[in-house]
Amino acid sequence: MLNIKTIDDATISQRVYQLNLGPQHPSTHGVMHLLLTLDGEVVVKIEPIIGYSHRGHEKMAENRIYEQFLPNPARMDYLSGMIFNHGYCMAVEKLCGIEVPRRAEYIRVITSELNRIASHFIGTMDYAMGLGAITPFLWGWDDRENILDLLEMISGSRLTYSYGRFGGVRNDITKEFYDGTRKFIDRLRSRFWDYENLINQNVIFIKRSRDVGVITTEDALAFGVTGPTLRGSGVKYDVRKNEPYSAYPEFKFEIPTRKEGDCLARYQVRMAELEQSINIIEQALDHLPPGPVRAKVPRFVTPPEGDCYVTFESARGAAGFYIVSDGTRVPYRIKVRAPSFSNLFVLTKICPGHFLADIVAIFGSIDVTVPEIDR
Amino acid sequence: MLTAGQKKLLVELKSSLAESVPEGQISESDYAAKGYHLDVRLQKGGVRRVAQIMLDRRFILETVTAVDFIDSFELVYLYSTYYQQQVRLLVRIRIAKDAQPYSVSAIYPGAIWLEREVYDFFGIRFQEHPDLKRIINPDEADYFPLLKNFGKTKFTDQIDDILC
Amino acid sequence: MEVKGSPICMPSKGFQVESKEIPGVVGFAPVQDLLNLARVNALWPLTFGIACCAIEMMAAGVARFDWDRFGIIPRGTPRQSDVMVVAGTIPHKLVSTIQTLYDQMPAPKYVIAMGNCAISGGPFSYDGQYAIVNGADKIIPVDVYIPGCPPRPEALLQGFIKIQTKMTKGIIDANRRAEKAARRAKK
Repeated sequence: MLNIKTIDDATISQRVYQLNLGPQHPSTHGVMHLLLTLDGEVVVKIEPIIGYSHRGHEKMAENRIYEQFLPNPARMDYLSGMIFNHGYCMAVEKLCGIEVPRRAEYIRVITSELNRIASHFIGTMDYAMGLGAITPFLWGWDDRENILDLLEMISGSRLTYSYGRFGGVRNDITKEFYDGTRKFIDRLRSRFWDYENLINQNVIFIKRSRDVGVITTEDALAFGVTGPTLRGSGVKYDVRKNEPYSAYPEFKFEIPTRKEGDCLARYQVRMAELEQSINIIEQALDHLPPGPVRAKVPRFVTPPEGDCYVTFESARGAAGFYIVSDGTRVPYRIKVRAPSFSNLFVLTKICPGHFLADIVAIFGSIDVTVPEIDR
Repeated sequence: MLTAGQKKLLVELKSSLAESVPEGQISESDYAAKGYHLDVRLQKGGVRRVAQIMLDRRFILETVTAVDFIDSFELVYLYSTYYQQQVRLLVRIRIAKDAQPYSVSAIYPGAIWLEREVYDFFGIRFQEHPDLKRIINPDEADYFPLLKNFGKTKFTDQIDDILC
Repeated sequence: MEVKGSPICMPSKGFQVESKEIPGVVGFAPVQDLLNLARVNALWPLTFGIACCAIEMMAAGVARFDWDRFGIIPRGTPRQSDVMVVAGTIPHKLVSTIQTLYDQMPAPKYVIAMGNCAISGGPFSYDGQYAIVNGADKIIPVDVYIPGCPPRPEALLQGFIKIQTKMTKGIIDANRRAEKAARRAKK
C-alpha cells in the first residue's frame, strides 16, 4: 500500500484526477456519492457527499404530535426499523415516566434481536457481493425472508414497522409466532456451518478483506465510531451491556470483538453477533412472562417540560434520541443520533493509500444506511 | 444505581471541569429520568476546554446539536465513554442568535461533520472550522430549515381538526 | 385464424388468412408484435433504489420472488436499461441526478414509480415540507405507479407485468407521450 501524505503540485496537474463514485452506482448501498481523488489507481483523498436522501425528519417532528411521529423512526434506518421504533418509544416513555410491563419488554427484545439478525444478514452478504460473491447474497436474503415472515405475523409489515407504542407494543405475539421463532432459530444454527463452508474460508474473500481499511482505536475515539465497526478494532463497547435498557440486564450474552480492525474483523464480528442474538431470543422465549403488553397511557401523551436522551444499540452502532419538550403534545426538538453518520466520516481517515477496488470493500464493511445519515 | 467506579469518575470529572471552567454550573442529574449523569451548563465559553478534558479522559463526542429558543440558541454537546465505567455528559451553552462559537474540530476531528450539520440546519457559523459548508441540504439552498421561523412549526390547531 | 399443429409464435388478432396446405408450424404477425414479444421478456431495469423501497426491490430480485424468471436483469448503467425503477423519496439534491439518468436511457424507455414517496411524496409530504419533491412524475414522465409503503415485492413484479401488458397492447410509453405533448405545445 503506498503511503501518500502530501500531494505535489506538479503531480496534481499530471496524474491526479477526480472520480465520482455514485450517487447511482451498483456497489454503493444507497445513494452515496464518494468523490475520490485518485493518483492512478491509488486513492489520495476521499470526500463522501451526503444529502441525497434527506427527508427532513427532524423538522417533521416539530409538526407532528408524538404519536404521529411513530412511523418515522423505522424509515430512518430501515434495516433496523424495529430497533429504532422501540428506541423512540423508550425516549418518550422516559420523558413521561411511563413504566412498561415486563412482557412487553421481552417482546421488544425478541423483535429487536430478530431485526438485528435480519440486518446483519444484509450487512455481511452485501459486503460479500461487493467483493464479487453472488451466492451468499442469495442465501442471506432468503434466510432473512423467514424473519420477515415472522415479524409480519405480529406487526403486519415487512420492513418499516410501527409495532411499538408508548407503554409497550401494539398487540401480543401469537402461538404461530412463538413456534415459528423456535423453528427458525433451530434452523439458523445449522446454517452457520453452511456460510462457514461457503464464504468464510474463501481465499479471494480473505485476501481482499485482510489488512484492508484498518481502524485504530485512536481513530475510533476521535471520530466517535460505534457498533460492529468499533468492535472489529478490539473495543468491547455495546450499549446493551454498558448502558443496559429494556430487558437486556436479565439475559446472558457475550460481546464478540476482534483485534485486527480490518474489513475481515468487522465481517467476523457481525457473523459472531448472529449467534449471540439467537442466544438472547432463546432465553427470552424460555422465560417469557405473562401479563399485559401495553401500559395504560393517555391517548395523547403530554410530556412535562425538559429534555432527555436515550441511547440504544441498533445494528449499526449506538443510536439515540434527544427529545426537548415544552409541555405540549408536539415535541419542541427531536434530534436523532445516527451511528452511520460518524462511522462514515472515519472513511476520510482510513481510505487514503488504498486501491480503488478496496474502497468498495471498506465501504461495504462499514455497513452504513444512507437515509439514517441524512435523516 | 451508580457503581463505585461511576461515582469515583463523576467526582473526578466534576473537580477537573470545575477547575478549568469555573463559571460553569455542573450538576448531577437523575440518570433514570434524563439519560445523562452530568449536566454542565456553560456561560460564556469553555467549550474547547471541556472537549480537551474529555478527550484526555478517553471520552467520545457522540453528537453536537442545537435547539432554537426563539431569542437564542442552545448548543448541546453529548459525551460518552467506552472505556471506563459508563458516564454520560451533556454540555450545553446558550449563545446569542448571531454568535460565532469556536469549533472543537481541532480536538475531535469527528466534530467537523457534526458542526457542518449544525451550520446547515441553523446557520450557526463556527470559527476556525476547516471546511464550513452545507452538508445535507442542497448547496444552493438559501434557508436554514430547523429555525423556528422557517416553514411551519406549530401544527397544533390543525391536529385537533384531524384527530377529532 | 386457424393454424394447424402448434405454432411457434401466436399470430395477432384480426389477421385473416385461410391456408390448409401450410402445416401450421409458423404463425404470422406484424413485425412490431414480434419485437414487442421479444422486448417484453427482456425488460432490463436501471436499479435506482433511493430509500426503503430499494430493499423491497432487491428482495424482488433474490431467491424467493425472483424477477429473473421474467427476464428482468438489473443493469448498473442507464445506457443498457429500458426501465427505470424510482424507489424512494426524491429530495431536491437528487433531482438533477434523476434527470441526467433518465436522459441517458435510450428510447423506448419506461419508468416505474415504486412506493408512495415516488408517487406523491408519501408519508413525508405535509404542508410545510421543504426537502422533497412530491412525486417522481413532477420531474420525469411515469408509466406505472405502485402504491405501498413499501410495496411488497410481488407488487413490483405486478408492476413489471403491467408494463409488459402496455408494451404488447401497443400503448405508447410515457416518454413518447411527453415528447408529443411538448411538440404540440411548441406549435
